[in-house]
Amino acid sequence: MNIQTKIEARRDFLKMTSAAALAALATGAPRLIRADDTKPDAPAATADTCILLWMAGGMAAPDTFDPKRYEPFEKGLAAEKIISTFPEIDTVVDNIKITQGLEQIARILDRGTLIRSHVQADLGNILHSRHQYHWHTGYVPPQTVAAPHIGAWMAKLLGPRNPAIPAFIDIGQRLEGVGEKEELKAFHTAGFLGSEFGPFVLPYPDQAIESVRPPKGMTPKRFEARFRMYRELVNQQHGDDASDYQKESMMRSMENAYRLLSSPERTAFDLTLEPKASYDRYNTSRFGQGCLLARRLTEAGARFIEVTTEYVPFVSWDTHENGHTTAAQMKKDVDQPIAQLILDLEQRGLLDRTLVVIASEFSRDMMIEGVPGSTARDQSRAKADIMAEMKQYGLHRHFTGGSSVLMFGGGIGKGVLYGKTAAERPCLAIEKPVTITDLHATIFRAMGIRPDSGLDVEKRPFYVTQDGKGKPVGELFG
Amino acid sequence: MTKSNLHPLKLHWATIVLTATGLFTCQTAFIQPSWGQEQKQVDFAHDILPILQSRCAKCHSNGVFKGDLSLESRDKLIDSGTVELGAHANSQLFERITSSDPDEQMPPEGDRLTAAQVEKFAAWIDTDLVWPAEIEFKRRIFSRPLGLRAVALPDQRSDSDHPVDRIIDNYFRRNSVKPLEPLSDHLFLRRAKLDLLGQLPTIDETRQFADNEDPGKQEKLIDELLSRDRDYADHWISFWNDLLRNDYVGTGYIDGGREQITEWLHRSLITNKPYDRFVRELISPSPESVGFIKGIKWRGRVNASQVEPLQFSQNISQVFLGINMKCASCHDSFIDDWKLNDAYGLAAITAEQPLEIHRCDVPTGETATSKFVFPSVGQIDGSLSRTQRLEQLAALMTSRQNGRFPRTIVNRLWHRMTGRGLVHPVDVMANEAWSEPLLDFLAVDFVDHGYDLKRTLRMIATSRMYRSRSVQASGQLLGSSTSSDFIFRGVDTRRMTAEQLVDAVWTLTGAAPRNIDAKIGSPEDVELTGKWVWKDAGAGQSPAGETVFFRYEFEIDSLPLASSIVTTCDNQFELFVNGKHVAKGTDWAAPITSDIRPELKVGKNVILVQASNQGDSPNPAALFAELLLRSDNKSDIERFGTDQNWDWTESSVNDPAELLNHEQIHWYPAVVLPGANETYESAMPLVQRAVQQFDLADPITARASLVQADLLMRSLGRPNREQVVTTRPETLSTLQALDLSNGEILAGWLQTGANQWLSAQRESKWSDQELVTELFEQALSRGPASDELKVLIPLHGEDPAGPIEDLLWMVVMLPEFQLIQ
Repeated sequence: MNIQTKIEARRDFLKMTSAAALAALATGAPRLIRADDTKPDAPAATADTCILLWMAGGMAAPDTFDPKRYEPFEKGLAAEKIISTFPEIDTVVDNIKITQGLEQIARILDRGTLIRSHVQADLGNILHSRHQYHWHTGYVPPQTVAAPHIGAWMAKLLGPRNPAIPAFIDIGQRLEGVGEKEELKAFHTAGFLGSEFGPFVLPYPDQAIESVRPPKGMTPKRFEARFRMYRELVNQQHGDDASDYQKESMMRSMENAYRLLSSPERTAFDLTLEPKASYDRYNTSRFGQGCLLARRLTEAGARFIEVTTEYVPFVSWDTHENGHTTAAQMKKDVDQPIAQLILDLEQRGLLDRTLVVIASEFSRDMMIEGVPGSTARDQSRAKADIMAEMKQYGLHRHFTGGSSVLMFGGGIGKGVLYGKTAAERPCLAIEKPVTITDLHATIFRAMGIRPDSGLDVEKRPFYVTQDGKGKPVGELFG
Repeated sequence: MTKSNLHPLKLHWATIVLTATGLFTCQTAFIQPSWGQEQKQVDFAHDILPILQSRCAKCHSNGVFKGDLSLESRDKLIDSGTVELGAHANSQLFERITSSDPDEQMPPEGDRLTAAQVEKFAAWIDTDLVWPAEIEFKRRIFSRPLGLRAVALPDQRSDSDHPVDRIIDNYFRRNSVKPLEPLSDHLFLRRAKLDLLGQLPTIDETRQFADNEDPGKQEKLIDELLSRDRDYADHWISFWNDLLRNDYVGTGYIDGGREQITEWLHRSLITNKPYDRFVRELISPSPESVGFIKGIKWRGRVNASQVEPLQFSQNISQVFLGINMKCASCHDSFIDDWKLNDAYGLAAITAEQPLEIHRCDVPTGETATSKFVFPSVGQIDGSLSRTQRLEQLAALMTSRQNGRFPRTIVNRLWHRMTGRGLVHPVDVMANEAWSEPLLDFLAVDFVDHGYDLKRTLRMIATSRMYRSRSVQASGQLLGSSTSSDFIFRGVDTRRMTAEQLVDAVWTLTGAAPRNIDAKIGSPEDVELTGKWVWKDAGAGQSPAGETVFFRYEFEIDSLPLASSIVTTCDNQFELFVNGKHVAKGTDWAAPITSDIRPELKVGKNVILVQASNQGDSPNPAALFAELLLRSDNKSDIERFGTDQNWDWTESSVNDPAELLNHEQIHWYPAVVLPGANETYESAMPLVQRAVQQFDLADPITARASLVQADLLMRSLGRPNREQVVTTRPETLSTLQALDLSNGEILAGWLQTGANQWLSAQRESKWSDQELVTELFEQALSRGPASDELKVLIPLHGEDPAGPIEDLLWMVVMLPEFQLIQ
């Protein structure tokens, strides 16, 4: 799609949603404080699409992208001697080492920036869902209003890139049937922005197509006939006393939905259409399939996509015991598909305008819960001063003092290492710390959104970054 | 720093008010690691505004401009020539605030500005005097006395002498609003039932209402609807759950950091508890209503403005008074007059421990003292115990002098019934109502009649205004968000809430779940029809090993929707239904509930209980049973408990089938045992609970409001109840439309519904046209027009249920269906 058609498509969508926007005005609903892209001082976007690859549950930096002194497992080994449980490996960038098990990513690090100094708040007691809420909305819960997910902000401020593809797509997280589901729902939301900007939730990538095609068992022909008859009925206007305003606004949304469900672009959601060789390269796990879906949707014109390894308490990156073994498995799940996603985007000429961020709610440590001096309760389930069995070997505590983030594309520097953590415990970020607020500001800036964009909600300003104070980390841009 | 930190808020201020940037700065300040390289900058709202407010504005704003200096806006300050942009050293303003000359220095009285404040002023001037142009000191534009004002009703100007109409007709005349048009019967019925009970009218109701020629039928309908206590409670519990942050699952419930008030709330709604008492029980609670003021205890560190006492402060302010205390929980509010002390004053009332005031999450060293927001109503004695303080607060809140209290609730009810508050938004009660007389009339009427919520709903619903056609929502089209430029023209067309829509779909499809999640109703209120019986009054000394057969015969015309029997016996029983063994019990303290519907048949049915006494010597024996039947097409439950209508016999025939067919056997009436309820006291609550469960599991009346929110309801706007929510989304979004177009949840219900309609069609031998007509009447309270039939008929497809499913979908998606007109 060329620039011109993009703009036209956007305009169409805006036309369609304007009644909803009008309605929002009516009710004391949020009003935009600053429509950035109309202001001359808005930053020029360096990315059109943002993909967040979420390492849910707390990915241990020393066991992934920030190798430290490595001690292999042996009985009798003192726990305090262990910082990394994996040896380091070389990468394509001379001065950057990462850990064993990430060989594919090691080969593409020259396309992106590795931040080793991402820091999170100490919330006193480590609860994944609270930290994830903070990371995804920029605000620490609880808040007096429901804070929007950053994807919802992008949907609100930028709209969809292609009107046939929902602006905010959320891949891999089930919101029912998993622990802490209510807490998860609390930030997988557009909050006060309203459901128009909420996530299009696709927990199972291989079933994504179900969400954009006619209901199960309904042929496209029947689906089309149903809508045609429906439209006729509505147009006959019997027994209809409703205000045109309400009716038109409702029909506009129905037409939008119908168009999405019958658009050619929806084939992007169908993983079975991917050539087998390519599909296999991604098919390490549900997360791997999610990366493939993200690539297809990016090609089709998505605005913001999150793909998660999925947060389920005590599963995947949430290693409270048996951490080394679990981390090795997780790396198998994520290494190949992440690398492939970057390569595919590059090969299709999309990487330059697609910002890919790989992040987690915090890091992990063998010994320290929270940060030194924190009052957080130790949550390791395999406490041991001396290693006696394999399940004790791993980073089982939640560490908020320094974690790693990877960024690719979308104007971000290539082959860059940014920030540093201490070589010895506590492995705090000791150079160029990047807070969630500033990291978000960087992401928003790449997307052409000022970090102090905000809305007036309940008469109070609410900004895309905490208090509108986020500062983009300029050095991260290439 | 650029102007970018400011935003064009246009607000009406009370007295001296300015807007805020970075209100959340302080709220979340603690999460900023200290190593953040902050570029030196001025935050107008936090750094400058408070000084201007407290030290300068008195003499330089609001009509007082000493030394010809106006600080009302940035432009006026610049015009004064007292500042040179970018150069504080050359600015007279800076000179004056730093001067040591008593004749020169500003402010002239009180302490000098601190060095830090002076530095902020310097930086402010140096950064070009950042101050959003839209922000000006303004005069208070509206205030109303706290006490209620008696309203003299204007003369009657139309054929309606209803007090609401008299006020509105007068308003219409003054504002040149064209008169209201009458609403058709079916739309009125539909509107009233959806608004008051949240349900669609049944076909019978629609027909009877249309046929009824009583000129007072609309008023009578409102009374009749409001008398349906259970339906009323099931509908309004959603409104209150939103307001009181009550839910059935969610953050805090599992680990005890939060408590439900569901049972208390539902009962309070069923009994239409007077609102003053209702609120007193929330503020000064019993264990069953404590959940509201208890709030949500978040695990881990939370911002000082979110600890439970501050939640209490914010929630009671917002919910009962329409006051936004969220800003003032952190610092003196920039958007209204509320101060940090006000927020903490309320919080201190409920705090278990002395509560240290935090400004922007930083401790101030001061301890909060209990304080009510309206001192003229009265004060809280901080030396009292917490329980007593809460009692005092409850009394002050509901005092007759506190007019804000009734105004806030009648305004919420008006909003619900008409789509827009008299005062709008409904949580900013300081705003002027579009009709102050109407607001006060409703509030006075409410108070004078015992804080009766239903009375106010009735007052609104019986007015001709409510009985008229809805209007183009002029307020919405103009996008006006304040009260002052809004003209009321009639009831808005409104969208169904998630619960209303889901209930309506369940009604059309029979897809309601079998169980509800809300724990409602108290088992003690269940009156049992059964009594403890035995063969004779000597049951207290029944011989060991005595075995008695009890029998109950009943006839049914059609199979019930559900049927159970709850049975218990001292010592042991075997239960047979129509000759089939169904259950056995061996402990009288553990009643057994048996689903017996599969065994029932049309015509005569027989329950047989073989009851036996155990032990070595004579000892008490008794049987208790409660038979429950839910008939086919109504929600009523019929119950037949053990009493003298049951028979007994003793027989050596042990095979139940044989026993029942044995013509020689004599049956005698069972004997009710007085006093047995006390003997078997501990079993009774269990029986009551079982009966209640049966009642609640009613698939006809299971309401969306009483089950956990599924993803569809959530999508349609049922909120996560961690925050107080007072309004629901007014328009359908595209994502919602997607969920409705191909989402599994709705599709599943429609499939269920299609199959039911198909069997009904086959059973009743309906033509396609008859089926469509029946469905339209149920869904829309009207029959289909001929061109609609032309579109829809014939219903054909490969699978016979398919076209009906599509028909259901089309009807449910009609704006006419989803909107309350």
